[in-house]
Amino acid sequence: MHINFSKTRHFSILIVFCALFTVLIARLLYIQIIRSKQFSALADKQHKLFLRLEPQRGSIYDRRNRVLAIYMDAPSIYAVPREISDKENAAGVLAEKLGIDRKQLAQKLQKDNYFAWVKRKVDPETADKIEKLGIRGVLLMDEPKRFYPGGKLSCHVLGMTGVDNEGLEGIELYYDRELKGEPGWRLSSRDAKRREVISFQRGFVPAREGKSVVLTVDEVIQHIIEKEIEYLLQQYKPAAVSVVALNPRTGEILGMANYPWFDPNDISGVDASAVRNRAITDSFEPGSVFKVVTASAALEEGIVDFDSEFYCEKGAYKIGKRTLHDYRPYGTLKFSEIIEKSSNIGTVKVAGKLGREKLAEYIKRFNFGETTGIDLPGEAAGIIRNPSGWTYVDMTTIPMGQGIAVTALQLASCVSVIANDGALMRPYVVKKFLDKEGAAIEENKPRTVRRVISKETARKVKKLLAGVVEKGTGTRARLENFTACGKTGTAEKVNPRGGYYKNKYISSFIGFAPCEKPAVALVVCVDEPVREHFGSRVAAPAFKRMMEKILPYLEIESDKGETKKSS
Amino acid sequence: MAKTKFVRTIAGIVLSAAFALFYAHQQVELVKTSFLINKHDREVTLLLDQYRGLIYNLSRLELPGRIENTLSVKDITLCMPKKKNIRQKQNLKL
Repeated sequence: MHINFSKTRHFSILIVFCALFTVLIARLLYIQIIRSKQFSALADKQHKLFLRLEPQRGSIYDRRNRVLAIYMDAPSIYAVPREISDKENAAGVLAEKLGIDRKQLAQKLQKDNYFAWVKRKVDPETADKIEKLGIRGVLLMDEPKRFYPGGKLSCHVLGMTGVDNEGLEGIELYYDRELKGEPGWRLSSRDAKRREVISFQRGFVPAREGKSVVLTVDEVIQHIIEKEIEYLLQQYKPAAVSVVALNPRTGEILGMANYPWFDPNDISGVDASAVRNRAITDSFEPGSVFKVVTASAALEEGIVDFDSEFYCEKGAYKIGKRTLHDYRPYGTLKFSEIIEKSSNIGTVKVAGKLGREKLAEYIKRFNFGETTGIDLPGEAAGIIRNPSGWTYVDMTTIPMGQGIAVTALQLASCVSVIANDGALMRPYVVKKFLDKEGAAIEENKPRTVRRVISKETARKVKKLLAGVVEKGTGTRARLENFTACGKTGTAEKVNPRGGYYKNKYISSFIGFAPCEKPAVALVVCVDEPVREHFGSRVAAPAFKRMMEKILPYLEIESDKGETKKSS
Repeated sequence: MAKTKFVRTIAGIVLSAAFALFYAHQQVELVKTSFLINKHDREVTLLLDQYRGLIYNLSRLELPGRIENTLSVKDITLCMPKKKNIRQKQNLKL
């Protein structure tokens, strides 16, 4: 039998090739048709790159465009736990160098994943040390971080941001939406080395950068205030201090500072009580500074004039079960003298003539018991009880600033009414918003809330307050080169268990200068000063020292003869 | 006739190859440009960060507290000028 090997071989080869091609085509069909969706998804996952574009947080400037807050890149340390061979050892070394909890870090590294934060936003020196360790799987990346060049300067106004750049306090919180902007995104492709190939971009929405903010606060005035607070701390070791300076004509806050304070650059371990902006969040019994309200109401209603006389009971006035005292025993005093000498008995007698309804009406018109509307978070309204519930005792306490609670900012607003010829302005801290290029896009304008008293009455009250500084309890606030108006206050602190502390006081001074064209209204509140406690001895001299620096700085011309004092 | 057909075929293949090469070259150029853009973007980011760093340092140097300390260390006192030393604007003869 003859077998044609050549033909058989050709046929076999054809069969083999056909089989191979069938397998190949089947595989292709499997990949291209049956598994097409899965493989497409896998390829997309490998090639597609979705990038969230973080917006730049806007900067914060003072009224003269000096930088108060800016963001910069700070190194953050992260780990790829899968790549770390000796996890226990790595956790130990890192915990020691970074001062973090070793156990917590070890737990993070034990997980079999690709990413774990070790410590975020460290200083460059620490980042260098970690880089030099050369631990495989421990890497660095830059993240934007908020920096405050002035440290604690204006800390309560500026506030602070969290680790993800979200506003936590102050302006940073109140205007968080404006400052942080809106994130964008980019859908792009990447190569085998996971590098972005921007040319094959599939979609793009740019991030909307955060607006920058220009404050009404002046860095130099703020410094003057904080320097004075440091001096008060040295001299009187108070528990807390609040100072507010504002432009009475516009309501612009020129400076606002409190003690205790904090450094917003380093908020780890900061005490919550230090973060509080006491000037707007803490209410207290104002004491004699509140007599400004009673005097304004009495003059506006025409119940008294400067020469109206009141008998001040030689320093002790019994009303029901309560005996009211003056610091010194006064006989008959004119109304102007009652305010100058801060007579409690005289003030209560004036308020008695005024009546409960009228007094309550003026307290409300001066905006006590309501927030001022300042653009800062956490403002308190103070406490004013419903006048219908006032007893005769209340009419002996409220006119002289007891039995009510107000904030330092409300007092600043109140004294500004007098300085501003009777008109109440809304206090504000943000002057304008800037876009990325620095052009103003939105401006806050001064806003009149209401007319509280007439211009004539305001001028009369001004004269009264000038008398307080020239010959009354506030002589220590008298300025060398400028006329000034003001009122002292010494309030016993309320004991939460009832009654008042016998040895804890709040000394305060509210005032403005110069008298005719007021440029600055200033409120000083010193909580629990040691050694001295009178407003006339603690707060009034502080007012003088600050005003004598602030007014020349603002280039206000002296209205009291020759300029003498250095600044 | 056959020769013309052959030449046409070869020309077609060459043209197709040239077009394919050109296309591949353009794609490579796109990728290269993309890397260049990324590189420049990183440089710009770095420079902007340095710029912000300089602003930060400048702000720290210009802090009123720092200036005050420097003046006090060098024993310099700033005084307000006396009225006789101030020339009023309206008195100026231009």
